[in-house]
Amino acid sequence: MESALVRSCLTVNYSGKPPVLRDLTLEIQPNELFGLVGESGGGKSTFALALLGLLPPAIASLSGTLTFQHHDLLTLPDRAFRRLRGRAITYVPQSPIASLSPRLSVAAHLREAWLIHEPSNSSDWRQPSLAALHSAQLPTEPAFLDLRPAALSVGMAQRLLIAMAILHKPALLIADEPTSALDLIHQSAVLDLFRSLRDTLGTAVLLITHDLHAAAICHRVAVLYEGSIVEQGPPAQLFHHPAHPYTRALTSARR
Amino acid sequence: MKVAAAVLLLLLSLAALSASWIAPDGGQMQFRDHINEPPSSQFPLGTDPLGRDRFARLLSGARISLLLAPAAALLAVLLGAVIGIAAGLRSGWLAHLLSAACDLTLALPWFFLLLTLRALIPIDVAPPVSLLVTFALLGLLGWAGPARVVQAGVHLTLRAPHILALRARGAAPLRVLTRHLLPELAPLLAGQFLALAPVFLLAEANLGLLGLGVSEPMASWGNLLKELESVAVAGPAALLHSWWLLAPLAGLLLSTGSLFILAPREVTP
Amino acid sequence: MSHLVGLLAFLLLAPPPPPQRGGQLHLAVQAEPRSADPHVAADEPSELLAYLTHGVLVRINRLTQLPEPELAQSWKTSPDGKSIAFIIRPAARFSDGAPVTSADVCYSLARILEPKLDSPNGDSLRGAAGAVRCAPEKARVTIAFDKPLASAERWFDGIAILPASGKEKTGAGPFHIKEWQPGAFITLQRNPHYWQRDAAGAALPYLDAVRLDVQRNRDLELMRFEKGELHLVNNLDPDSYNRLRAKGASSAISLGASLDSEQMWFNQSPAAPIPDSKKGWFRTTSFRQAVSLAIRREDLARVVYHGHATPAAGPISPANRLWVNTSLKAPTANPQQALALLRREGFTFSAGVLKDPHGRPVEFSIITNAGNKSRERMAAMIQQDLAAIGIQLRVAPLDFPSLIERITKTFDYDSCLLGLVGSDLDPNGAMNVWLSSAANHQWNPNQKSPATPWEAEIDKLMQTQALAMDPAIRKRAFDRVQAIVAEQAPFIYLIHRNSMVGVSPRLRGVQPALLRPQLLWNVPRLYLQN
Ligand SMILES: Nc1ncnc2c1ncn2[C@@H]1O[C@H](COP(=O)(O)OP(=O)(O)O)[C@@H](O)[C@H]1O
Ligand SMILES: [Mg+2]
Repeated sequence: MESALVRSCLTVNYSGKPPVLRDLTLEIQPNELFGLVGESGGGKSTFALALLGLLPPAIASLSGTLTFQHHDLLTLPDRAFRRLRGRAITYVPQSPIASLSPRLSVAAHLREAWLIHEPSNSSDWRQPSLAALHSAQLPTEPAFLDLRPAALSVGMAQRLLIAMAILHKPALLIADEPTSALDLIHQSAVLDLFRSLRDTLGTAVLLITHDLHAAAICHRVAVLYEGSIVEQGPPAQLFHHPAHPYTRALTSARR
Repeated sequence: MKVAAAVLLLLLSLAALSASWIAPDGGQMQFRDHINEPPSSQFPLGTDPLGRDRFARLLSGARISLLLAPAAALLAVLLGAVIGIAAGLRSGWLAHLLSAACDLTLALPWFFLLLTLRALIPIDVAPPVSLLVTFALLGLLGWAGPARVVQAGVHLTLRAPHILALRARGAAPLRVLTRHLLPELAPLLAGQFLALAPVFLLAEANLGLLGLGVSEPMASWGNLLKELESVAVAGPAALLHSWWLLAPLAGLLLSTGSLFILAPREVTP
Repeated sequence: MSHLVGLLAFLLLAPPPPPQRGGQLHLAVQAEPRSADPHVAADEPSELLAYLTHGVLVRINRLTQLPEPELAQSWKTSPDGKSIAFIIRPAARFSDGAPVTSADVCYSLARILEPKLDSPNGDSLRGAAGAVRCAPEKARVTIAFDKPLASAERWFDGIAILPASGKEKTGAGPFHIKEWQPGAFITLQRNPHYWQRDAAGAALPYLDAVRLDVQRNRDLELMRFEKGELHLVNNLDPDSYNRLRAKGASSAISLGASLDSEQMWFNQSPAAPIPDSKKGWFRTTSFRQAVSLAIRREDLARVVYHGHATPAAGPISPANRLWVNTSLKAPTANPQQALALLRREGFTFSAGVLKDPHGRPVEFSIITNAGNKSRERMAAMIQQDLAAIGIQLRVAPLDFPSLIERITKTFDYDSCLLGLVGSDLDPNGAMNVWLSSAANHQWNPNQKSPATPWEAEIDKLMQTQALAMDPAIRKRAFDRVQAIVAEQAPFIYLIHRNSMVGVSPRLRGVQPALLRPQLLWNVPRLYLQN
């Protein structure tokens, strides 16, 4: 327990309004599949961005504690944070196609994602990139590498984002609502992918979703309600013995 | 389409460059026994009210209009881009200061400012110098419009999910700016440039009223276009009878049109 | 020549049919008259309104330019020029029927001389005559001045006679104001008590009414004239004139040279912040003469004014019949002679460049008011003419306020091209130009003592003509002034614009004149033919 990957007791508010997160308390262990479940607008993305240090500094104010490995994320200098971002902590954002640069090809995306953290090994991007594409179950042939985001399906775009997120073998991968843009078949496929990535790469995965059922693959699930964690535990426990009325509402809801 | 536009622009530029060879006097020679004549073999586009060769004036005017107006527009857009991006990237006092400067610049009574400036420049500066000064002024003073647009563009782009995703991959601000923001703002900047270049071209003609810019003996598309005003008063019928007066307008439309075709366009998502 | 033929044709084609009573004359003014008070009228529309609605003791006949009796049936000036006596016409009546009396004359004179009123005519009379005393006695009124006035009667063309009762809207002119819609129009109605009668004894004016539309847009004015809505237009530009000529037989008339002139001059002010080398050139008579000789005035008239201008010989337009020195001729361009003059002063001309005796190339700038197409074109032509004798001229159009600033305050300019609007025929009106101490002595204003012998001579001649009562002496003196100016070329006169007007064929009795109001000066005798 003392070697937790993420420790949080975080309060966040935007431009002086009532806090979006109040003392959000949780711990994520290395190599754990951790689910964060809560309704839309509940502050799940806010928590993800806090972990990435990307909350807009002008309007968001953070207090409490938030640590990653031995780093205090609330006081970490910008430069040091940039070394974590995209390497130790990576992010698979919510809307896949919009999250890709429209002008860049698949290869250019991967190349840039590699170069940001390995500028000295600039020519070595191809090998790890192909491996990442392979792990993300995407084609690796040149024709695919030359495609632009507009030519990709939502699922492929998401897998490209995943490929970039695993390029540097992160300690923590945050997936923000990875299932919400997909149909049911692709949903289970992508959830399987996260599970196998966790198994093969030794990565911890923070799976953010508003759908308790999607979190069923996780080791542990935390339920976010009105800015705080109201209940957490293994998914089976939450399904069968929900303690909090909000969790009960979640178990009966299916979208 | 693009090829045609490029060829056209090239031809126009070549014609402009060859002006000093085709019309060594810059179309300033007055043939006083040939005033206001229609096109002939000696004067392909006729002569103006002082008996000057309109074709020669069109060519030598092209040098000014095709070189200096775009140069001034480029200067204005570059300045506007730097200021707009700085104001867009930064929040806090710098952004406030820059956008206040922008408002002020847009609200200034430019006419009077230019008058004062004119008073500061000696009256007998050589025409080429006054020309350069004029377009430098236009460029230096024209930044506010583009800056405003660029600032809004920066705000919009920064909020775009793909920029957030990029930053989440650890990209430094400089990389975001040079590799992504600037290329993505390029169509916006090109649009500003395309809008400003013809405006400056015409502004030059009006600045002539203040004794700035291209004074009468020299030709520019601006002051050639100004002649059209008086024809327009006489009614459209008059234009039909003297279609060759429309040559500078055609030149303006062709050159801005081909620039427009050549300009980078936003990639459709 | 063509304008003369046109004028003759117009006069000949209009035989004198029996005049018809009635009808409304319709014309446009370019601006709203600033005031209905004739004593403060300073703008053209107000002056026109005053002319149409008020009477004066003496009228200058706009055609002959000679004074004629109006409300006064006769006058007599004293030999020393210090007093004038008028006999008031018994038939003279205001529009309300009250007779015009000598008391009204003295009242009007006192009113116009009152400094508080700020009357332009009153102020200049006060300046010229000093204190003025007015003695009414029945139909006779004697007016005495502190200082002698040459041709004293001429001053009274500018002094409207108002009733002593103080009703400034009541006048003794041919019409009176009936309705004034600000910004739109003014209608004038015939004054039934107007004194004048025609040869057959019928009461004048023939017209029942005059309507003045405020019409700022000259193109619209011209359009309405062409449609027959308006009966006359003044100040046609060459293009409009040619268009009207091309259309209608007799509606456009050219009256020949107007009183206005276009001229250029060199800055000779010692205070000028310009290089001494330039000052040296500008003060050299031969240099100015050479420039004058290099300019092709006929080309300016032909190209810029389409032939509707007259090359200028000197300061006074031939339109000013009484005062022009007819022995002066407009110089014919002669570059060779110009170069000869310059060589005599040590200038050299080679490879197309004129150099001064110190080897400096001769180049200077000319300022003119921007936006004036004719002037910009003339400047461009002068540029080419001077290039022929190796002088590089730079044309600098300036907005009007900065131009005035330069020529009156900072003196920071080389040469200037401007026009002068002639209004006053008498040389006394131009004292403030010709005296070396005067502010409008443009090439070198406000001199403490004359800078050159010829300026000293002009000073003396102007004093002589101002003090002399004998018209012949005055004319001789002013002829000499014109000759000196033509010779020394402090002002290089270029052209006089021709005056061109349009008259509807329906309007009869018109005798176009160069003096304002050009077409309406004999308005009592105008009538409309159906
Ligand atoms: N940049 C921001 N400025 C102000 N309020 C914000 C901002 N981002 C999010 N919020 C607010 O914070 C709350 C939580 O948002 P978010 O973290 O996106 O929720 P979730 O991801 O759970 O749907 C919402 O009410 C939202 O309006
Ligand atoms: Mg969210």
